[in-house]
Amino acid sequence: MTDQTRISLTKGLVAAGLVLYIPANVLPVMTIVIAGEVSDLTVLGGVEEFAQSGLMGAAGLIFLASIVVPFLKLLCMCWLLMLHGSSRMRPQRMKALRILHQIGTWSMIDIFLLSVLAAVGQLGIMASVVPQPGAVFFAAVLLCTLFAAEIYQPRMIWRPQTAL
Amino acid sequence: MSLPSPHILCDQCGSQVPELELQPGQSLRCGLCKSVVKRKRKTESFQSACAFGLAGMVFFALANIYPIMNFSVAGNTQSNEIVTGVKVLMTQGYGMIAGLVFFCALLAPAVYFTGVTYVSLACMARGSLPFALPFLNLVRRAEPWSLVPVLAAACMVSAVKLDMIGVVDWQPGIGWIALMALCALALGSLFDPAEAERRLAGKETLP
Repeated sequence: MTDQTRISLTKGLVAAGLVLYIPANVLPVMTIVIAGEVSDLTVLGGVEEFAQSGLMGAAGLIFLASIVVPFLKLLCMCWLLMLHGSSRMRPQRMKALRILHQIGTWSMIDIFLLSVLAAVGQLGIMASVVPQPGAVFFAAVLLCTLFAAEIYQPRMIWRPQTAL
Repeated sequence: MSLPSPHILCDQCGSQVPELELQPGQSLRCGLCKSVVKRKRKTESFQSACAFGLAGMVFFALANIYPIMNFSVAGNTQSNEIVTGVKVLMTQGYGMIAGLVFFCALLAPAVYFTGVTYVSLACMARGSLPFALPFLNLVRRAEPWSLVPVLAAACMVSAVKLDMIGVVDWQPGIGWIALMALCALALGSLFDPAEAERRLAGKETLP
């Protein structure tokens, strides 16, 4: 794959990620039924529920991993793409890309959480968990950010600008 | 006429770094991007990597045999294994999410632990095992997608969530997942693919 193709793919994935980020956070990711009472939960709704129950640790973890990290990843990728080809802040860009690789995968916690909840939440009207379309958008955002960070390689930060 | 000194290609920025003889515990950094391009460890790291890889494989098998937790509401109980979530998501029509969970929680960790064990063995055997380089490439591909520590954290958070609804009873599977996560974290610092590649190519001396 040429560097030009990599840049084009990264731009496409980042743009798609930004668009998908909206429905991923607006649409419910799961429906929980407890004793016949149905409640739809968005990603932020799940955080609020934890916070209201006084479980601030879990609320903080989900908020950071599922809302802050994907958004920061998208912003950071935009910044890397904007500065691509210039010699400005190369060490900082390199460090940012490294951090993206290290923390980026923690966003998957919400998808695993859904998987565990759906697995044990199969008790009919007593307690059941059903995924909702928001989860698909959320997974798509994660895939966009993960692939974008994989495709944009660190060596491209140090290469001089080529005609794009 | 003196021979040109050998160089190492920095895998981060692509620049050529003059190769120097290192003492145990020393590392060589790229002059341009400051990444570590070569490291000489004080002790043989491939033995430890092989041990952790093997332990990871065993824990992986056990984590998939034993249930993670039992969840009870009003006398009704449901238990789950890692693969249960994949099956349920699949039957509910969320194949994409099921595939993602299957890949990141089952396939990639299996490939990673097996690959690291095999490549470490090959490195200790000075590259005499067949297909070590293709296995190393597989390890490189699987590593970013092997998300066992994230899965372990998700299990903890889900238990907190489920505890608000019913009764959660931990099962042995969670212990095996936690141990598997520890192995994955240890391998992240012990197993260096670049070092393994040099060793397999016969360019790396034993510590």
